[in-house]
Amino acid sequence: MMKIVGVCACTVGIAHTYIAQEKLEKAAKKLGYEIHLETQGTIGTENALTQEEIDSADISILAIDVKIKGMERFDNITKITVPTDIAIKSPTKLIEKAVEVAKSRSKGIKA
Amino acid sequence: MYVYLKEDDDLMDVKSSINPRTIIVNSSSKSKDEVLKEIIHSMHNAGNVSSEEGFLKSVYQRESQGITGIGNGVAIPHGQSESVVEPGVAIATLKDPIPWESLDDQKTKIVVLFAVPDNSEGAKLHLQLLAQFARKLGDDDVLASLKSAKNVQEITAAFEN
Repeated sequence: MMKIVGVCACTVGIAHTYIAQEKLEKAAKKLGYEIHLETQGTIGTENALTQEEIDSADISILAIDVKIKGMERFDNITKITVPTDIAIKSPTKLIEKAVEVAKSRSKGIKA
Repeated sequence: MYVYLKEDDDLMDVKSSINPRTIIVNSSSKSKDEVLKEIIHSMHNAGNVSSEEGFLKSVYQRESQGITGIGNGVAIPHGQSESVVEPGVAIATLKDPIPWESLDDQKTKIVVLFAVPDNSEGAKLHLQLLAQFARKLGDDDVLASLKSAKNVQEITAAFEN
């Protein structure tokens, strides 16, 4: 099964972060993909991703408006980086795009 | 400070983060500025903010950084300020939709305002509730119930599913 990991983080860290998380999780589930999203907000990091989880994923989505902690964990995985607005506005399209990129990468085609 | 967050309370109960005193049903405000002031006044009365002016300033500061209309007729302005003495959320439903910068260019029918203190360390539990509350706003079913809500009870009930 296609496995997606990612991080959501917005400027104040109270609203957009969590709305984006919910929207992406809902969209991924509906499309039948596994997703694990870490949130970095005012309350700190929640649902933290381990290096193992990231390394075993097919693709990562960073829905972020600010610099995030632990960016180096994503050094060896393809990243789709977007503002949280995109994740909130078009979660399904974003997931579909990520999966498309993941598939083309696994075939050795540069996306 | 945390009057409704006792040790034995269920921290997952998002509903408990909504104070009925900060819910405004069918506001007749005609503009963003008017409704923000109306909501912030209710938050001042409920003890969330010490200075209405100070908090409003922080809300506008956030507004200047990006769009807070998340689409579907819902806006989620928020401010982080030393004027916030108790973190909280306030909700206003509008009689007539008002112009608001949004992701889908639709007018706003529901305004959900978050108040976050400058120093979040001491307020972590409460902010966790606010985060869970925000998450609910990413759920289309919750938004649908929220939009059809006609009174305070129906608004709080929208967050139960």
